[in-house]
Amino acid sequence: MDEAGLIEDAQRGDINAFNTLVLHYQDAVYNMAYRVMGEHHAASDAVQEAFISAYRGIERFRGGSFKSWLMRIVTNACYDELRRRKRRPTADIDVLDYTEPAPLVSRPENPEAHAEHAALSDAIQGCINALPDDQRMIAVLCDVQGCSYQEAADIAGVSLGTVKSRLSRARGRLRVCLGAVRELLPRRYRLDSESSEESTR
Amino acid sequence: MREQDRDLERLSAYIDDALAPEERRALEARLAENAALRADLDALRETVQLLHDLPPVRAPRNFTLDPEVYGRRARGRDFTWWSVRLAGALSAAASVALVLGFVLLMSGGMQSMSAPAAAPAAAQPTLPPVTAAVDERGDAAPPATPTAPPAAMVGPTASPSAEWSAFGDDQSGQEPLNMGALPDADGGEMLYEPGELPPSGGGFGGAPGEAGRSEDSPEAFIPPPEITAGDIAAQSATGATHEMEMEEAAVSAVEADKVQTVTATATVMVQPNGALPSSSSPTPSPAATLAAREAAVEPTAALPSPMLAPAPTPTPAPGASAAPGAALLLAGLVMLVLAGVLWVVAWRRRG
Repeated sequence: MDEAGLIEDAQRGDINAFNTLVLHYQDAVYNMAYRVMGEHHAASDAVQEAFISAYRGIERFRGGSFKSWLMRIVTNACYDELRRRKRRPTADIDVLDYTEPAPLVSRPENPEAHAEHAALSDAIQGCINALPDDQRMIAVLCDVQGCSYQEAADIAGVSLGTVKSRLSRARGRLRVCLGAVRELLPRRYRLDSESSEESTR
Repeated sequence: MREQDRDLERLSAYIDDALAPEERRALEARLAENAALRADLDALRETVQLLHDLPPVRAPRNFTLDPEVYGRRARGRDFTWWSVRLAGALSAAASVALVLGFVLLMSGGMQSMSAPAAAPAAAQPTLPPVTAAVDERGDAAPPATPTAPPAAMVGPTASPSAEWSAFGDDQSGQEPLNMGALPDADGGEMLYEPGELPPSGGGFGGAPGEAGRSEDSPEAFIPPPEITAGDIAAQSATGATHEMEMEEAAVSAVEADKVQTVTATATVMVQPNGALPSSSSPTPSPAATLAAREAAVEPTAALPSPMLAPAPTPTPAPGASAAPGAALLLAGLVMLVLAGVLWVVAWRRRG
C-alpha cells in the first residue's frame, strides 16, 4: 500500500483513497476504541466519528506516522463519547445490558480453551473499564496497542512523565483487579496473591 | 508521592526498560535484596503480559465513508470554504477601494479649487509646491464659489460636483473645468491682466457652469474659467513670471474683496448659491468678495488637498485624480456586491 500516495490523494478530496486507508487501519483503530470504551456500540460510534473527523481534517496532516495521527483522533473521539455518555447515562442502559461477544481473532483451539479465553478477555476488559479515563487511555495505548512512551505521549498530548506515572498507576490498579478474578486466569497468568499481599504490608 | 507509588512507577518503567542507568542499577540492587519488591515486579509483569496477550478485536464492520455523502459534502465544503475566503478578500479589497476612491474624489475636488495654481506649481519645481498651491488656491477659490451655482444648474455632470461643493465648494467646477476649459486656454491671460477683481472669481467653480453661463452672463465670468485652463497650459510653458503675475493679481483681488467687508455668512451663502438658481451669480462683486473671503478665511479648506495628495504628485490636474477616484468607487461597489453574492451562496450551501 502506497500510504503516502493515498494520503495525498485523500488530501485532494479523493474519498476512495481515504477509504483504502480506512480499510487498512480500521481494525487497529477499532481495537483501540473498543478497549477504551469497553463495549461495541460506543466503540463503533467513536470509530465512525474518528474517521469522519480524520477525512475532514486530513488536509492538516503534515507527515509523520499516519497511524499515530489516526490514534490521536480516535482517542479524542473516545473522550468525547465518554463525556457524552456520562452526561446521559440512562440513554444507553439497553446497550450496557447487552453483552455482545467480542469478535476476537479466531485461534485454532478447542471450544473449552476458547471459552476460557473469552472469559479471561472479559475479565481483563472489566478491569480496564474500571480504570479512570486518563489511565485507561495510556494503559490501552502502551500495553494493548504496544505504543512506546513517546508515541503514547504524542497521541494523548501529554508529557513523558505523565505517561509513566499514569501507566504505572493503571498497571497497579489492574494488578489488584486481576488478582481478585484470578481464578479465571490460566495457571501461567495466575497472580501470586500472597506475595502481593506481603509487598503491600 | 508515597514511596510505594514511587516503587510502582520504577517497577513499571523497569519492565519497559525506561529507567535511567543509575535508577536501574539502584533498583536492581534493591530487587536482589527485597523479595517483596521482586514479587511486586512479577505481579506487574504478569499484568502487563495479560494486556499484551489480549486478542485483537476486529472491526465489526467497515467504517469506510460513503462517497455519496462525504464525497459530495467534502466538495461542497471546499466550495463553501473558498467562497467564504474569496468573499472576505473581496470585502477587504472593496473597502480599500471605496476609501481610496473617496479620498481621491475628495482631494480631486479640493484640488480643482486650486487647480490653476496647483498645476503651475507642479510644473515649476522652482516654487515650493505646497505653498504655491495654497496661496493660489486662496486667491482663485473665492471666485469659483459664486460661479458654482450655474454649474450645478447647467447639467447632470455638475450635480455631483455640487454635492462635493458642500465640502470644498470648489470641486463642482473642477473636473468639468479641465475638460471644457482646455480649449479656451488663450483667453486666460487676457483675463488675468485686467483680472484684479473679476478674473479670480470666475476661474474656479465656473468651469462646468461656463458653458451655460458664457451664454447667459458673459460679463465678467466667462473669462475666469478660461483663465484656469490658460494658466495651466501657459504657465507650464512660460514659467515663474506668469505665476508671479497670477499671484499678484490674486492678492489684489483678495484685498479688494476684503475691503468690501464680507460677513462671515459669506461662506454659508456660497453653498446655497451653488444649490440655488444662478440668481446670485450675476452679481460678481459680492460673489467675488465671498470667494476672496473664503480663500483668506479658510486656508484650512485649501490645506487638506495638498495634505491628502502630496503636493508634487497632484500634477495630473484636479480632474485626473477624480476620474480614478470614481473608478475606484465603482470597483469597490462591484466587489462589495460580488462579496455579498458569495456570502449568500456560501451561507445557503452551508445550510
